This record gives sequence, structure tokens and C-alpha cells, in this order.
Amino acid sequence: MSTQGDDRLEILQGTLDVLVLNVLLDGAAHGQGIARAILKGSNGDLLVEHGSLYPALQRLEERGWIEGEWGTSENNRRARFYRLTSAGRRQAGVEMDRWQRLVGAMANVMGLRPSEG
Amino acid sequence: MRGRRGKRSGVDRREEVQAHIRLEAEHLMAEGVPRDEARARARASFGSHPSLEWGREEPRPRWLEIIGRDLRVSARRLVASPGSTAVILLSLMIGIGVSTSIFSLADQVLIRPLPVHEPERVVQLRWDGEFVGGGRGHGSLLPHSLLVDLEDQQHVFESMAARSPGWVSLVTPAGPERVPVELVTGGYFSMLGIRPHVGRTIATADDSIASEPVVVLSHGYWRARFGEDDTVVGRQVRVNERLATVIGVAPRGFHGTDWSVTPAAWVPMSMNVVVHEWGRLDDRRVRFQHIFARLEPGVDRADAEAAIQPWFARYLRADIGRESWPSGLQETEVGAYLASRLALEPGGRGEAARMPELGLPMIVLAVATGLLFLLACLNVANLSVARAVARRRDSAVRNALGASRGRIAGERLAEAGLLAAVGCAAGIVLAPVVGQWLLSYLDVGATGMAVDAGLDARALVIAVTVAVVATLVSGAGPAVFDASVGPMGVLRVRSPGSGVGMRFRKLLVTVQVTLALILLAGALLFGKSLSALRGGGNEFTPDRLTTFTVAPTQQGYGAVESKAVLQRILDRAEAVPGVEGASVVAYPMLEGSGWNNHVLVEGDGRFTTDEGLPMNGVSPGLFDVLGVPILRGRDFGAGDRVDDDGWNIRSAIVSESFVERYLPDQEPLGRRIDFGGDPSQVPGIEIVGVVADYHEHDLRRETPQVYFPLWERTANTGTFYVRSSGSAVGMIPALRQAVASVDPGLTVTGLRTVEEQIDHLLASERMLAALGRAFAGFAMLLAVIGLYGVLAYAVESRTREVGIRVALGARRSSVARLIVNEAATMVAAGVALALPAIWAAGRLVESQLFGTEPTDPGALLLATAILVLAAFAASALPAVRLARTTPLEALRAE
Repeated sequence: MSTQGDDRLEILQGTLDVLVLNVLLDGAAHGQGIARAILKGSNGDLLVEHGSLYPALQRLEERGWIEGEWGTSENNRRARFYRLTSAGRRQAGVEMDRWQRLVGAMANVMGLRPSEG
Repeated sequence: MRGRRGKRSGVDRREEVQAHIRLEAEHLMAEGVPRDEARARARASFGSHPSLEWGREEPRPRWLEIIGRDLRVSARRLVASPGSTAVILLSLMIGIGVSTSIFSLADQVLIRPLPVHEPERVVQLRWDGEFVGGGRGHGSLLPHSLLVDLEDQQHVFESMAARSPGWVSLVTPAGPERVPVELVTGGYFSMLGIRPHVGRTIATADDSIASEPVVVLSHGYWRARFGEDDTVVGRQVRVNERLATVIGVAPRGFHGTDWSVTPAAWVPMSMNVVVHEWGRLDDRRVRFQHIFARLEPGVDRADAEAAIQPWFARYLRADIGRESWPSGLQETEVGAYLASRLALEPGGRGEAARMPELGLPMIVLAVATGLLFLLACLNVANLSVARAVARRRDSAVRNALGASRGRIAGERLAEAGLLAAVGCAAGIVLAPVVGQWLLSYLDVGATGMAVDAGLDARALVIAVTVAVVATLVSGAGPAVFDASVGPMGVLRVRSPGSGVGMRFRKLLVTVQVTLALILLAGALLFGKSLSALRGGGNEFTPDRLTTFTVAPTQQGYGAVESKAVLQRILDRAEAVPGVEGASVVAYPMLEGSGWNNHVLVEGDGRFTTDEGLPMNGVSPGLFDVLGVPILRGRDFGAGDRVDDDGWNIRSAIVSESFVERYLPDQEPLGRRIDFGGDPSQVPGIEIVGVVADYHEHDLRRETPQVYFPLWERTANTGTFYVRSSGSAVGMIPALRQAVASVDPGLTVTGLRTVEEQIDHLLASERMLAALGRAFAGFAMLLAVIGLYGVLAYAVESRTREVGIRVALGARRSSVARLIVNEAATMVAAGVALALPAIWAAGRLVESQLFGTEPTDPGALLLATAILVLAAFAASALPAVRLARTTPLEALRAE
């Protein structure tokens, strides 16, 4: 469900995980911070539906790639902070590598057949 | 507060989401958004995502939780469609409950061997051929002399024994009561390999006229009357008028060799004179025993049978030379006698004489139960397939959107599993109830039948397994099928009514119609048969008749006194207010037992009847009391009486069919007859009257009948028949009082109304008829529901087609006909399948039907009409709904 009715892109299925891992490479962050970081990092083009963020976080946590811990936010609010585990750090590399290959492959395909894009 | 993986609570997660919303709202406010709007937008950014609901326990996707969630979802879905859920559960419950309990009973009656040592080596002897004087007798009733002679001669049997049933008045510290006993020869217990529970069993030394009377008590009787007291061994009880010593107690679970009776005790065969007032066991013309034998180890039954034939041929040849051989027999009769064989039948399941009486109803029951079970499963299958098919599109869409096929099939499986579990549990609860109900029809208490309502574990396991498999396969099967086709394949099928599912369901309904019609026809036939047995024709009228039996000689009276006592009781009974008339007879009517003899007739020539005829001694006025007309001549009167202890029979009344058969076109009055098969004798009993035929001896069989004056013979036992002006039940206390006023010490047995007696005698027929009605009712219900389900479904799938037809000017009646035609096709196919099946099955149950044919056109027509009517009713609602379809509705349905 698009919440803001604007022309931002919805995140493709399966890409949220790699984005979250990527954001966490810069250090621990809470959920709202992650969502904001993705929006900001994409220059406002990628809209994270906040509702789908938490299942993703939970999924990653269950796989042992990230760890959550309650802490205090910059403006003194209680928030749950997530950080990469060492497995998560490795996984982030794997995911980013795969993503780059996918993007490259898609670009190649579209480059070969531009008229049908 | 460090969260560990996988262990977080829902509350913790909800807190995290709330924190997120607060942070987001503050972020928005920092960007200048007003407070309230910021909060609203922060919350809205979550949409309606379930993570907002995380405060409630959200199951994590683990297999156990998946199943839990599937079950909860399934339960909700099932509750949402209560109609089909109820029908599936009811079908499972009835199917399992009824079939398990009936199989358990049938198993005890038909399948289970006696609890004896190596029952497969036990055989029963049967006379295969002609008895003396012509007429095919009861093949398994044999003379005692056969056992004695064969025991000396043969080498194929390890041991042999004979048994004979009887009833005695047994007096224990608990008082006198009439109980069934088994008379057995000395080798009986050792041949069967039965060891006593306490004491010892009957041995050869006990089985002689010279030995002291002894009894072995059954375990059940010992428990009921002696409280399992071991010291009972050595005590004395009274058997009829003799004192006998208790020598032991039989093991628990041993009920003798006739499953239809549980004897209270066993007594030596030599006590036949005590039990039956007849002691000439060596009389070669009297057949009253069932003979059993144990084969030598390793000897085959067929080989043993062949091995004893030469001996048997010698036995027969020796027999016709004996002094007791009746003279004047024709050569063909002697030839037929000599051609007899001695057959060996499997005896491990006990005496088979009563088998046809209750065995066949049990088989009929078992088959009917199987059919009902099948019907129930078909209904489950039909409705489950309908449910699954109805959700095919839904499933296909979910599949296309990423839900795995396994998950979708898993949900279906959970739903089917839930149905199966609940239905089977209900069936298991119902089964003992049905068993008790059946037993109450079988009237176990009165006949002493050795069956109980216990459930057979194998039957339960089989029924539950079949039901569960049927439910799971039909419920989850379509999902698996769809998975193989793929979502596009499913979605491409526009009309769900034309799929494989629909053809399958139509086939199921056709089979259901067939089964329902078979059961319905059976129910009508057995119902007709029962009412034919209960009354109609030249019957006496059983209402307002009461009966009871008194046996003075068993309670210390001599033969002459006994007659006087019976006469006094008769006088007192007649004096009871409300009594219209009373009479006393030597043997109780309708019980199929009693007095039976060949009759010597002086007709155009002198001859012996071709079979033994039932006889009875009756007091004057019996026929008036029963309401049976005397067609010619007179009733017995005060003059037909001799008050001594001998037999001085001078006159007889014969039945109408006796005259038709033995004295056709002759004046019966004044003709002379006599007992026995010796034509050299001059008959001396004059026929003084002819009475209309009625079921005197046996409800199921009508034979010529001869009556003699009760008072011209010894009367040790008397059975009274009392006609009252008011209700027969009301007479019982007054009649008991009347007997007590003659002698308070006299035991009154069988005091009941004749209607009660008939109901008891017809227990198996009543059970068949009642079960038939229940079966037919359930079968019809199940079939009609199946039919309705298919038609209602067809309506939904044809709405569009009909809308177009109506738009093009089709009449409503022609639209309704579409549905009716569809129903008619299924019903017609079902009927066409059922009629030959009924015809074939009818031949098997022919012997159980009285006064009606298995192909009775009336009953078959009625059954078909009922079914067609019910099917029409089931199709009316869908047809009307379809006919009301407007083109607009049809378009909206798309």
C-alpha cells in the first residue's frame, strides 16, 4: 500500500534485505532510522513501506545476520537498535555482489534490446 | 534487555513498532509537520500491515505453528460453512459408529471361533441323506447310539463328544429359576480342551445312569448367584426335582458350543431323564444330539470324512436289520436311507443349527452396514471435493502471488484432517451406543446369547482408517491436482462446473442413489415381512392374551396330582375378574420346540406321514380363547378326560392343512390316526374336529398340526393362555396371585403377554426391520444431500449461460428443466444400477422374507417412487433459483 500517493518507487520484492544489510554496514541503527536512511540514500526515490520493514528485520535476525538490542535514540527515545553480526557482514557482501550482477545483467539486456524496454 | 534470536515476545515487537512510530512522528515534526498530522502520517506509513498487530501473539512460521495456524484457519472456515461441515461430520459419525458396532456383533456371531483348544481340529457330524420313514430331517441332530458306536470303531478322531440343549428349573440359595443348560457326554470338556476355573469338569465316570447327578456352573452364573465363592464346589443344588453336586466352574468366556445360548450350567448326558423326563438314550430312532469330534493331528477333514464312510455304510445296513427298525417301509425309502452319508463340518465355531436364524440377518446387516459406510464416505468425498474445488481459483491466485503449493495443499490437508479427527471421535463415541441399542433388539438377557456390546478393535481401526483416508484424499486431492496443473491451468477453466471434479461428483451421486435405493427396497421388504409374521392370514389374535407356564412335577407333585394342580390353576385363572376365557396346553406355542412325531393315518390306505408333525395336548376351549375357528366337528369337551397317570388318548383335532395334505377329498371326521411310524399297528385315535391353520408351533413355518386332549395324557407341565377383556399386561399380577392361591411354592415361568412373546421371537426380524428403516433413512438423506450439493453447484456455474438464454427469450420452465434433467439423469442411472442389484441380493435373503418376494413389485415401485420424489424435492430449490435468473444477474455474476 503506497502511503504518500507520490511518484516514489516501491522497493522490489527481495531487495529490501540487501538494502537493510547495506545500511547496517555503516553501523547500528533502529528501524525508523533504517527506513529514513534508505529514503535519504536513494535521494528520496525509494520508499520503504514501514510495515514491511519489520518482517524483513525479523527475518534477518532469525537467520542470524543481524542482532537487535534496546537502546536510546539520539533524541533520548527508547528504540531497538540493529547491528550486523559477522555472518551478516559476510552476507551483505554476498548480497551486494549478487545485486550488482543482476543490475549489470539487466542493463546489458536492456542495452541490447532498447526498443522493447 | 538484549533480545535473543527467535525468543522475542509479541509485546516486545509491538513496543518496537510503537517506538518507530514515535520516532517517525518526531522526525516529521522536525521537518515542520504539525503534531497531529505527523502522528497520523507516522501511523499511516505502516498501513494496515499486520506488524501493527504484533502485540497479539503472532505465530512465527515454524512447522508446528504453521499447523496450528492452519488448524485455526480451517476451524474458522469449517464453522463458516456449517451446512457442509455438519453433513461431513454426521456422515463420518454415522459411518464409523454404526459400522464398527455392527461388525463387532457380527464378528462374535459369525467369525470368532469357540475359545477351545485348536478349534480348527474340531468337526461336527451331519447326517447327509434320508432318515427313517422318509422326510429330510434335521441333519445335525443325531441319535446317541451313533456316538457310542462310532467312538468304539473309528481311528480318525482323537476324541468325540455329544451335547444337547435344555432348560431346567435350577434351585440355588438365590431361589428357583428357569435357566438354559447344556447336556454333555463325559468326553465333552476333554475333547474341547476346556479346563475348569475351579473344581473339575464332567468326566466319563459322571455320565452314566448309575452315577450321582453333578453340575458344572458357568463362570457368569457362578459370579451372579454365588458371588465367585470357591467353596461352591461340593455344595448341592436342585436340578428340576433332583439334587445334584456342584463339581466345578467353567472358565470365563466359555459359553458351550452354541453361541446363541449361554448355559448357566453343564450336566452329564445321563441326566437327560432329569432334564427332559426321558432317559432311553439308546433309542436309535430318537435324534436329539449334536455330535462333535476332534480330528487326529495332521488328519484332513475331507480325508477323515472319506475314512468313516465304510463304517457308516455298515452302521446303516446293521440298522435296518434291528428290531426297532419300523416295518412296512417301502423299498425306495430303505434305499434312500442306505444311501445316506455322514458329513464332517467345521465345528470350531460351534453348533450351527441356529445360524440360519440369526446368521443370515447378521450377514444382511453387515452388508447393509458396508453400504451405509460407503455412502457416508461418498458423501464426505463429494462435499470435500466441492469445498476444495470452490477454492481452486482462490488457491490459484495465491499460488500465482507466491504462496507455495505445499502451503496451500497443507492448508487443505489441515482442514480435511480436522474434519476427519472430529468426525471419527464422534463415531467412536457413538459406536457403543449403537451396540447397546442393537443388543436391546437382540434381547440378549432373555435368550442368554453369548454376545456383548464390546467394540472390536480391528473393526474400529479399519473403519477409522478408511474414513480418514477418504476424507484426506478427497479434501486435499484436488489441491494436489491443481498444483500439478499450475495456477494458469486452473484459472483458464472458466466454468468450474465442467471440470473433472464435477464429473466425479456426478458419478458419486449416481452410486449414492444406487445404494440408497438398495437399502430402501431392503427396508420395505423386511418391513413387509415383519408385518406378515406379526399377523394377517388365518392367525389367532395375540392382543389381550397372557401366557405363563407351571411345572408341578418339577416341584414335588406326582403325575396324577400334577393334572389336578393344573386344573385348579385353570379354574382360578378363569375366575379372575376381566378374564374372558383360559386354557392350558402341554407345550408352549410358537417356540418351535415340544412334541413332534410321525403320525399313522388310516385314510384310503394306512400310511405314515412323510415327516414328524408338531403335536400338542390342549384343554377344552383353547381355540375359543385363541380366536381360531373350528371348521368342522367339535372341540374337546368334559368327556375327553381320564384322571390317571397314563396315556389314554381317544380323540384328536387336526388342522386344515393336515386334511388337505393327508386326507384330501375325504371325510376327515371319524378317521383314525395314531403316533409313530409302524404301519402294522392299528390306529385308535378318532379325528373329532378340524381347526383352521394358525402358527401354533413356529411363527416362521406352517405345518400340518395335530391336537390331543391334554387331560387324556400325563400333564407334567402346563402352559396357560388367558384372554382378558382389558389390557393383557394388567392381568399379570392377578394371574401370579391365582397360581399362588393354589400353591405358593409353585414357580411361575414365562409370565408375559403373547404379544411380548411374539416380539421376543421376532427379535431378529424386528432388528432387521428397525435397522432397515434407519439405514434407508440415513441412506436417503445422504444421497439427497449429495444430489442437492451437485445441483446447487451446477446452478452457480450455469448462471451466465442461463442469463444469455433468458435474454434470448428462453422460457423459465425450460431453464428449470435443465436442472431437473440433470437430476433425472443421475437418478435414472442410479435406479438402473440398483434394480439388478436388488434382484441379485434378493435371492440371498429370500429365506428371511415371509409373505413377500424379494422382487415384490409393489415394494420396489414404492422404493423407487420415494427416491424419485426425494430427488425431485432436492432439485426443486436449485431449479427454481436458476429459473429466476435474470440476464442482469447473470452479468453481475461474472
